[in-house]
Amino acid sequence: MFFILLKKELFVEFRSREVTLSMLVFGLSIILTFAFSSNVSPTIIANYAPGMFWIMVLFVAVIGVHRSFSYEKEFDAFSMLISAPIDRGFIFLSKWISGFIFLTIMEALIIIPFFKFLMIDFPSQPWIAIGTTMLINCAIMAIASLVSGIAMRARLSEVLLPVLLFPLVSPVIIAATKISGSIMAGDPFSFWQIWLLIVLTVIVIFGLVGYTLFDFIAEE
Amino acid sequence: MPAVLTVSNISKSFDRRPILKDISFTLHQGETIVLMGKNGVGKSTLLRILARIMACDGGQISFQNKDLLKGSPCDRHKLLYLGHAPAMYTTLSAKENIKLALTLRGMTVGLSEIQNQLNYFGIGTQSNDPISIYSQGMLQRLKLAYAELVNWNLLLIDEPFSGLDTDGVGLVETALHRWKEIGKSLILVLHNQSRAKEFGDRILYIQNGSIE
Repeated sequence: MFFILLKKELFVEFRSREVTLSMLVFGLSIILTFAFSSNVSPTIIANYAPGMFWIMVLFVAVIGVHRSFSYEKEFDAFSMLISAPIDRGFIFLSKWISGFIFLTIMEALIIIPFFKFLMIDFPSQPWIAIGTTMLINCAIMAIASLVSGIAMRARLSEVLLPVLLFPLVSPVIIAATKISGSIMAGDPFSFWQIWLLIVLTVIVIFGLVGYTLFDFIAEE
Repeated sequence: MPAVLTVSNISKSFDRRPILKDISFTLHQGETIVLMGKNGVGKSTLLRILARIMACDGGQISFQNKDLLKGSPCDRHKLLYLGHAPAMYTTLSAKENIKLALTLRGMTVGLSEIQNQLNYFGIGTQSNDPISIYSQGMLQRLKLAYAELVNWNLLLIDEPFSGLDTDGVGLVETALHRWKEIGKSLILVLHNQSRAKEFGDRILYIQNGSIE
């Protein structure tokens, strides 16, 4: 059932392309703003780049996850899912994994403009950077999917989503910045393993909480 | 006839304002109950609670002798809810939406069979169009086509005649009569007294949160 729901998420997005396009346009506009508004040395930019990147990813993730849940509200489409005789935890898992896929695609498309426009060097260990980035995406989307599910039923969901999400996701963004900064600087794994453990803990906790609680969260 | 649905002391409040207070009734196999009452008395809310789309504040619901509120999702396999909105995705076509909805219910139905139902309900030529461009009447017909394809035992349907032209009303009437004849159980929300008497074995009036 999980794969049916995941296929549905991807198919609906393939038809509208609203989530990925809005994420991409927003991400590129932030990069351009960063690139043209800062006039400091490449060393300073390189120090701030990981934080800028993850803040941008956070905003882009909010846009993506909000759109992903808001089309469930059109024509009350969410009722099709929650009235079906399926484990509602799978709805959360499909939202989480599809959000992860959209965020990763968006990052793959904007990562080169990010490095080129900010004139910073690519990390010397690209596979480690890619692997950790995917884990961080997974953690961000686990929290975002759960919070979006909670906020979706609220009247001011577009306001409630960032208000609930930003405090919860801030440990992941801090950890992500530290991890990316360390990888960019070529630091050994022991320097940043604690931050990776934080990310992994968030994935496990929010994955389990989301799967377990979505049955109650989904109901009006 | 055995009881299909037993509703005991269901209550629901919005912003501490009670909408439903200790609603209790039993629906038997093959029986049709019509819910009536003024706008905002909680008819649609009650249907959404029975379909487990909305949480209730208290009470119990038993469907085919299984606790609907605490039991497994499979326990509501034979229960179908059709609300005001179509509960389908605007970017997908009628065929894709029905196919998806049936797959979520564990059913495998061919596209030709779906097309046949859509043809019967008069929306066959638009079956590949996204439903975002459908009129209210077409969406109502789409829901009925979907209901014909699902193997349900209890249908919860909210205002099935709204937005329909004369032909559409005829299709709904035919479908309701057929479902009653083959012994299906229904709970309808209607506003028209004569239709309620025509289709309902019992009419429950909701007033001040209770069944009068």
